[in-house]
Amino acid sequence: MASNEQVPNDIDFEELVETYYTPLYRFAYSLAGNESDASDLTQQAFYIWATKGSSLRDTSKVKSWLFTSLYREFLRIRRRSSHTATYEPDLLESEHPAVTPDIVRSMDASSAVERLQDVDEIYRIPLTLFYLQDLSYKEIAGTLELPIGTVMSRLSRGKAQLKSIVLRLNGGK
Amino acid sequence: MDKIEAKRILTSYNPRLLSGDDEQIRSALEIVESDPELKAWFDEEREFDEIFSDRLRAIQPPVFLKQAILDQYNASAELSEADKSKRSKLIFWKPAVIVPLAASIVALMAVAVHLVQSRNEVAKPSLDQLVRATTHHADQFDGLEFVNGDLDSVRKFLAAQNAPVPTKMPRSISDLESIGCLSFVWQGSRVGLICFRDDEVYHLYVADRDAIQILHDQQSPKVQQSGNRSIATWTENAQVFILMVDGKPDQLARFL
Repeated sequence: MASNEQVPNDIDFEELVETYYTPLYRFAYSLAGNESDASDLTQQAFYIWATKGSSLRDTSKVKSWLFTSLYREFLRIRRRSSHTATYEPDLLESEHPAVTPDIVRSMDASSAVERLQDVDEIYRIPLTLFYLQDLSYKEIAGTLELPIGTVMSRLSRGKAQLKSIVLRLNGGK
Repeated sequence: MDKIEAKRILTSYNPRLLSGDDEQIRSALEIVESDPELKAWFDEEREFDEIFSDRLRAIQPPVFLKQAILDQYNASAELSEADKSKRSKLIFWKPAVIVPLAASIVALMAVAVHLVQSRNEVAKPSLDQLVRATTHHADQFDGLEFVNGDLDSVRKFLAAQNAPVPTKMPRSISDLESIGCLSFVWQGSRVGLICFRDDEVYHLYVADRDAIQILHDQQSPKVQQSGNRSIATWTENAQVFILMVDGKPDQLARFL
């Protein structure tokens, strides 16, 4: 498990919300980049749970189920707004630029999200899940419906892009 | 495994995300331990990742969010109870066993049709529930998404959010100075909010009529008081409006 929270045994809804609304909101905020859409996405994930969650037999998969629902909802909204990037950008930045930890230390949460927003979406989403540390690699692969090898290579490329962005925007400070 | 391969494998390494033992990672870590240059790179990489994770994990949800989720769930639960109750009542309408077979079939068909209709009706939240949700939203109100004094710009913003935009509202309201707007999802449908300023701040919530279970259209506004707040509700042009203000009902009456 990527994080230590206890999965509720009999899935009490209030307990479920208490356990997961913060990690889900963080994921939503990193995807959407603003509080309003992030709140909507989080609410929607629990709403989907309330209407369809009873079909889930394996309670150990509740967390992945909620993350997957939120991610699908995000994709659905993105498709409607026709901003979806379906292509995989060329591997231009596989070489990781050297970024000292001090540069990142000077950033706050909102600038970290802003830097992530500049990463190509195809890399940004696995990278966000990687940094949030709520899901294991296997669960990230399940949520994004990708083979684990693809997740790992997107993480590597995404990190290279992120470092370039951090260096460009924070390097001179 | 050489140094380059070890570096590639460990670029996105975080022990907390591993589900079990990984042979490749173990080999890569052994190479790192035996190579000071690679070790320095790896330590810096882990530090970068840890700090970046800390930054993202510092994001906190808005204070109202948890309660909003629970309210939405409770509203759904109420609907579900109403659904069960309607269905159990329908069972009592079944004809007795002594009724001739043909009559039973006709009756059962009627029940089935009624059941389908009833389910369609109760699948939507009621206007009372919308009023409760918007009242709660107003209690927890902590800012607008879009702040602008020009009502046309506010309408455009709501439209861009796929939120209901008031197609028609009393002139006395649209003449007020707008403060801004926001939208949110409730029970699977988007609700728009425009705030106006006069002697007090007025909240005008707009929802699609189709998303709400309304038995009778309410073209004349109905005003009610809830604590210190006055609330007017009405329907117009396939939309549902809820206007509220912290004050007495006569503060609303002049706009309606």
